[in-house]
Amino acid sequence: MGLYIIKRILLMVPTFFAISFIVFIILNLAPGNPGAEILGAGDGGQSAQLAGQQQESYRLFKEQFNLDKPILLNTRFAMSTRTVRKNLTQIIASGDEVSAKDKIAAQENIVDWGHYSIPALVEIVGTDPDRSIRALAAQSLALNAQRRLMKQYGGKLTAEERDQNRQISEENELVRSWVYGKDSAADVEADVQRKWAAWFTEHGDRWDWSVGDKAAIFFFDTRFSKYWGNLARLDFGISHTDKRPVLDKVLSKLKYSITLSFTSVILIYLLSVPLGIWSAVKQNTLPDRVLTVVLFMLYSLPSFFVGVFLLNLLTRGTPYQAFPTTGFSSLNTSQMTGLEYLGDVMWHVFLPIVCLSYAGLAVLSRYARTGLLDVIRSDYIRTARAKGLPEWVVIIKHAARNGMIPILTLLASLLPTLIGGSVVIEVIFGIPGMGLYVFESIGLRDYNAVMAVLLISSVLTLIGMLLSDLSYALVDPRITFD
Amino acid sequence: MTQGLLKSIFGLALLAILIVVTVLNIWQTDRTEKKQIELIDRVGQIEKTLEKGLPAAGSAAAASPSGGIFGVAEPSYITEAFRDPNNVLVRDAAWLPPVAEGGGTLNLKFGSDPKGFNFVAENGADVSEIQKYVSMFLIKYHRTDPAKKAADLAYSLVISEDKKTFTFKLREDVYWHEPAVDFGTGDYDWLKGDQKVTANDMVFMLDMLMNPQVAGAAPIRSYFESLESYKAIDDYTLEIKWSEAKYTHLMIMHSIYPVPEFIYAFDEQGNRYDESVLGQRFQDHWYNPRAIGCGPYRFVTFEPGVKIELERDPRFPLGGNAHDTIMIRILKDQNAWARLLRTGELHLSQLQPGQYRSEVLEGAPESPFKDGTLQGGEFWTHSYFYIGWNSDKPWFGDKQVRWAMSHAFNAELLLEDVFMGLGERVTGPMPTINAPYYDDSLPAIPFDLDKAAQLLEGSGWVDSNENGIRDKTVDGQLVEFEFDLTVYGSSDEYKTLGNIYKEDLAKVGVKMNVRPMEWSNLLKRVDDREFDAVTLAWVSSPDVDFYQIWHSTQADIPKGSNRVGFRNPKADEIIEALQREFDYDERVRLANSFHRLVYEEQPYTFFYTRKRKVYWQRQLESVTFGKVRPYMNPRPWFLASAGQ
Repeated sequence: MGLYIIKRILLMVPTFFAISFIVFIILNLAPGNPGAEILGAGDGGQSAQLAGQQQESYRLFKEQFNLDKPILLNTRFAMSTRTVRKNLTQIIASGDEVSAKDKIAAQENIVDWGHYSIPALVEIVGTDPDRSIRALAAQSLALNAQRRLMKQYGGKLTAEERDQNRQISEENELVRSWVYGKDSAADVEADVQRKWAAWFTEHGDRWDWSVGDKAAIFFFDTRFSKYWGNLARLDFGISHTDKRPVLDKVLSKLKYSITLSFTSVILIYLLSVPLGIWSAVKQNTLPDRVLTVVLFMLYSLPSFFVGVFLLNLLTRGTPYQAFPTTGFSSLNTSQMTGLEYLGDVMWHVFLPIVCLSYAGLAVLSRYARTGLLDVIRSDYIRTARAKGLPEWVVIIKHAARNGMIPILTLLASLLPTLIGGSVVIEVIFGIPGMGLYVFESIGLRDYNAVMAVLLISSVLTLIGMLLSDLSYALVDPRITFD
Repeated sequence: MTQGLLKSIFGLALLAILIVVTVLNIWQTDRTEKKQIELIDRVGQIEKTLEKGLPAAGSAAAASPSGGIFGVAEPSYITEAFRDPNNVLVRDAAWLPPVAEGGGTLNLKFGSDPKGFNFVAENGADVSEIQKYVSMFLIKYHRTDPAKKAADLAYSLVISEDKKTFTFKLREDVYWHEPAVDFGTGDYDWLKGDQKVTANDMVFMLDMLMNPQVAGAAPIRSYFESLESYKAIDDYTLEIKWSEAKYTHLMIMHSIYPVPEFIYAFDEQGNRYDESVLGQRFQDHWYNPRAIGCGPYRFVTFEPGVKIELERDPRFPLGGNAHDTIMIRILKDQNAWARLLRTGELHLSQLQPGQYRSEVLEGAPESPFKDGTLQGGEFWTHSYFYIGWNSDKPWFGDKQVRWAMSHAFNAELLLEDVFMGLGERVTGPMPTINAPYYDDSLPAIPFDLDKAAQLLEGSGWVDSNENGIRDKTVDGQLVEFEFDLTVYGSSDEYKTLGNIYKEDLAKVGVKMNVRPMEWSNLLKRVDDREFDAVTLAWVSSPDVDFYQIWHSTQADIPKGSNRVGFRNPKADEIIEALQREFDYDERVRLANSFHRLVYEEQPYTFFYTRKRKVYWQRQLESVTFGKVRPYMNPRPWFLASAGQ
């Protein structure tokens, strides 16, 4: 048994890796940009903005979230001057020659290529025949040649790192100023060209990569391996919308979602097993048929409909004012004792839990019924009856234990549905849980948040599956895993 | 057998005792907890009475009769400064009517979670609304007179002769709110103590604004391109210098405010950040989930998805903060807004068009929205909706065609029936609330299909191949008049608009396809200029500046806002003149002439500017709405008989 558990847990690792790989790829290939302006999206309105002026901030933003890196493999160490020049040409070309789409793409490319584009840009600044291309290359250099500070995106600086940062900042300050406009005088240009040439002679060794370096860049300077590198340290990154660690946010939402889904699971099992047994015993009588019809009707009602229906019938301001209209608890929780708080939460989540559980209840009780019916017909039950045992002992002690095995398997498949289903319920009942969070994050293209929620819920599902497998052995002594 | 029985009886008894003891235990804990809470409550009340009693008993300066919700008596140096003819700023109109009473909790709602409260790094609409309650701004728009700039933190602004130097004098009686941290733990002792707001806090704000590491400030930073220098001359004097004279520089002064260096330059343990990474640390600051300011309300707490709580700051000198507490619930499901209005759990909320239809237009007569239980009103927003015609496409380069398109657009019908009359037609590039910049002498273009057909004919679009669609030979090629209208797909109103327009256009021989699209994809398509026509809206400000949307230079830069490719030398001239002009009357004249020129050119088919319907409980008095965001600013309101 112990060996089996260890084996299963070890198997979870590659499964988890595969899940994260697939989710990561899908997420990163989805259209839309995390940096895109989302102001006023609900209204279809937006504020006018000066574009193209804020490249440095945009670049820092992309760097912070590794959005400047290729997704899986990085071949940028082999970047040719021609490729870089082609993109520069596209940026300054007139609207008739190049479409706006290609222009924007070219601009993003130059930003993304960052320091990989430096040798090519220096060459262009020094030797290109086209004056406006040279000027643009110098401007791009002034951005791309700036070095990343030590611990730029968080962490405490040591005295040594502070010194280094001071040096880097000074160099960045210098580099930033080595630009000129299209209409600048020739000597201004010559001066800038000279500075760049001198700077590159001094620091050119930064771009002399050995084969080993190139291999490292090829595999490791990518979005995916950066993400996994952080994940291995249990660092899920920060949300790009509010810059808070996503793990903290997810954990704070977990309490709402877990309350909802666990209570629902418990409720579903508590009700569906007796219901199933009852209708199996009363098989083909009128009450069984009525129950079957009612449960199937419930099963086919979508939860968003039932949610809104209950809200408009049973909450305050409606004909039967039994429940609060929205939220997970009242607002004045600090004024409540622990017991009152518990009661308050139960009162608030009652309707959401009803919405989350009725469909599962319908399904599970049907499975419980068939499970039991299968068993009831077997020989050992007849034997038990022949022994003269009372009927309830036969059913509960002998039949139910075997008959319930199938519905234990369903535990594993129930968990993901509950997490998925709670999105709608959380929106309707105003409960700030994980489902609502992931839904909003997808709209904002907040990759870190979406990844964190999906990975955490897949871990929960994997654990759920393991538990349901283990519970077989618990229920049926004939099943062992050794 | 008897032994077994005895055993189980004993077991059961033990269990029963255990249960009784546990229940008793829970009950007792509950009682002690209740007592504790009562005690804490009483201490809080005593503190409050002390706070109220103190100024009355002692220090004469603080105990001015006009203190409290109407603010303190105006210090003489400020009164004097308002008499100075060089001072651009004037005293703002009073927020509260004289009969107003203080006290009570005002219950409002938000439809989303703010992304954090670092006002420099975040600029979402909900974040800036909280900022209007929490912060003081350097200057603000006058509440009733659009021609004037009103004092806020600065009571005096003198602009130099060459219009390149702004000198601000700041109030000397403004304090930072107490930071919203848990002082009980002792971890934040370094934040304790009163801090005055000084010109250095303004300098720190500008430092952060101009720091490229603060990516969130990039949109507003573009207004500061010709910023030359800024410095605190003394604790209460700020000087800002520009390299050129532009009215937009004065405009953007409405958007700056002090930011407390004593929090934001430090990490959570109270150590100063290294200068080299200060911008980045500021952007991702540990205090960002909380807000701090020096305005009418102090930020208390934010629970994502649940609530934001603000409390009145008794030291705020300008008044207009009658509510003891403002409780903002986060209600992401918009249907909950109307529901909570009905139950009285919200004091005031606007209704989205869908709810307006179901609750008011189609509501039963005994509904609280109709029987007088709730009061209703409306406010106008600084936004206008339009259909933009991509002039680089073969159909829309011609002014006549664009006029034809406008004539074929049944704006009146759509506004009344689809948009439920929640707006007013606009004829030019700003909402009507911008009057007098908005020239209201221009007539809205009437729906007239005959006229549209005539105009199309006049510009050479005829059905030469008799397939029911007009065509024209452009550059030797036959072009059919068939194009796509891209609409915001998450809104049914826009899809309906598209379909009605499509039918009308078909009557004049033009084929239009409606392409609904999700927001971020729609924006990308518009940025990439891969659209023929698009329905969108612009959100503007009370001051007008047409550069970003209409100047010809903005038509050719990637992601520029002049998406329709409007290039007009005369327009460029007016836009530039308007940017340099500081005189109000002259600005009005220029804006009017720009309005007329755009009307003549019809680069857009201008549709409407929106009003929002708001409902509130009777108990809430003196409800008026602002002409600037946040329109539903609670500062003029008060809760009747909340004081008792």
